[in-house]
Amino acid sequence: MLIDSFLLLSAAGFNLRDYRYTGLGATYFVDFILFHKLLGINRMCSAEHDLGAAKRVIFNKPFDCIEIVMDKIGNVIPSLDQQLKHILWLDYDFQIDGEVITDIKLAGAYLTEGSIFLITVDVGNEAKEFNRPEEIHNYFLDQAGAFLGSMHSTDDFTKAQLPRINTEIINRAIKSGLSGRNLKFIPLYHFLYADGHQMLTIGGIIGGLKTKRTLTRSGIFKNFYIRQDLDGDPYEIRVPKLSRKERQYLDSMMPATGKQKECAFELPLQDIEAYKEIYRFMPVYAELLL
Amino acid sequence: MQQKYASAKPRKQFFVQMFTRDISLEDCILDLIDNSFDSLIKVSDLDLSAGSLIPTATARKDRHIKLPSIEVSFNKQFVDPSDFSGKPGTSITISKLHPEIQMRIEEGTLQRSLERTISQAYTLFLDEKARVLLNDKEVTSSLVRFGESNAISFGKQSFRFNGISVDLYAGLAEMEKNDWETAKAGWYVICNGRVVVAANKDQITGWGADDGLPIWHTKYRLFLGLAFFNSDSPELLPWTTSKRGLNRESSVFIQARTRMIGISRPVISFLNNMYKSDPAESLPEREIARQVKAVEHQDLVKRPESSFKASPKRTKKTTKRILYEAEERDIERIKRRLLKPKMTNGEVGRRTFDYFLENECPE
Repeated sequence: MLIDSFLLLSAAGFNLRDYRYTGLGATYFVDFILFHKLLGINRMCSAEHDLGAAKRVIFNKPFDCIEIVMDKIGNVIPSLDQQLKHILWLDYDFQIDGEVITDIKLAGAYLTEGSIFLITVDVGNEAKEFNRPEEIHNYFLDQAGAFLGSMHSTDDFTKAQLPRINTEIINRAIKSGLSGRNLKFIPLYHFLYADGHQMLTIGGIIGGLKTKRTLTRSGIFKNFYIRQDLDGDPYEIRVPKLSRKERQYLDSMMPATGKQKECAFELPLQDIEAYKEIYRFMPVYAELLL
Repeated sequence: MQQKYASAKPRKQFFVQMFTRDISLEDCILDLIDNSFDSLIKVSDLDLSAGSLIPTATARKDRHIKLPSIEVSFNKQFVDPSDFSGKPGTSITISKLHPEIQMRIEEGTLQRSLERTISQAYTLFLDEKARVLLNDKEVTSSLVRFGESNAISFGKQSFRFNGISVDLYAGLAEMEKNDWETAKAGWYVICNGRVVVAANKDQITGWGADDGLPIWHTKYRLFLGLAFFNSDSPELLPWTTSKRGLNRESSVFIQARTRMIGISRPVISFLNNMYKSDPAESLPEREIARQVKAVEHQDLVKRPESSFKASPKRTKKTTKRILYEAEERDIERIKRRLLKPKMTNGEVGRRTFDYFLENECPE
């Protein structure tokens, strides 16, 4: 979906090929591979804070154009080139904490106009000591006290509310980082999906009225997965469990804009509807026996 | 019921008290000194950019600071232009002192307090560009300089905002008397050459704030941050009217503060690594930190923007830790055998390990 919207942005005049991508590639670099191959981005930087994994990270680097910086991402953001536009993805696989909030604020302060900012956090903490509203409330008071806004009551801090709580904190942290600049965060992405844990991704563009106008012209806001504000529900990515043969069968009927044909096998209607939305963006994985 | 009205007339006395009581004695004296420095900047045509205070060839215009209009009474002789004879300058004698002020002066700590305040506030002017005499004693600059070496360099960032140029620097301070002084560490905010906040370690510069740096700790006593705000329109600067504090609501300061936190973080990471729970793991950081040499302030302005860099030479650790429990009775038996009852348990472990190594595993 990100790539789909990035292609729309490129067509609308956001010259993403000249952007610099900064992310947390770890040892897989999936995002780097996609952005380089599909968007043609050549300026890339991956921050890795685990000094003990330096050789492994460098070994796994898929392209020569990726610069590996062995440092925390928060130490890398202040050195983002102010002459370039950036795509910055803070793709954390843990839940939000004080340090993450500072990273978000820094992104707001340093990203140049027209830059794309994405942040992913874990909102499905299953730990025993993170269960009762009091425990969740205390955690957020400790880690994000200044960014809780009007969420004062412990009743606001239930597990089901974690995506909302995180969204509000992230939104406030971005605004706080942007304060003093004549720029705004224009939301585009507000995804909720399960990747083992429930994950939340928020993203958008740093810009002013001109950027907003260009975005409107691009038609990006008409996409079903785009969210123009963060107050509503996120777009929940639901991936139905299907066999390869089932997928091929369903694909043969896509995009299925007209009258729905009857499915040849038992499949709940909501799974078919979910598949219709995401089949274009779903990667196909296959196991290869060598 | 008969209506009664409360008087809402402004009490002039309130304003008189506000002017005379809400401003500290030090601030009043500093305000007078500041007028002199203001004149110095105008007549010397000093370039205040990036705190370098280098005289420039280009003429700068309209560098006056707008002071609030205060009416004072003086005798006619004072304003007579023909009276400008003899030595230049203005002498102000204050004779009728408030009893509280009289007490402050007699109490005995004012001289030292004033000396320290002047020394900090005008640190960039003193010694080279100007002299301030306090009861005939010259106030010296308390300038703190960055420390640098081949392995460590400070970070620098600059930006412009609504007619204000901002230059931020963060790194390690120079070492003085074989250590770093906690009292001098922290952030310094300098507006048009005046230090308005010195050695700050609290939330206003990001320390211990929810969204900022960790709570101040003595291990950060090597930290030095300088934030220069310069503008030809002093009213735009993020200082308070007394020029001795920061206006937290100022847009330029809000933006600078986030960047101050950003530029500080690599320094904080380095200092955290320098003071790990196992001191052996921090040796490379400690070694390069002790090798830094002072950088002159006039060199700061020439530096390109960069982030704080430190490259400790990490040699591969060849040792492993052994930790085990033993019966107290057995440990005491070994101590008795060695005729050293005061030996520590750790020494017993070391001694028995060495014994086994020497006798059972000869090389």
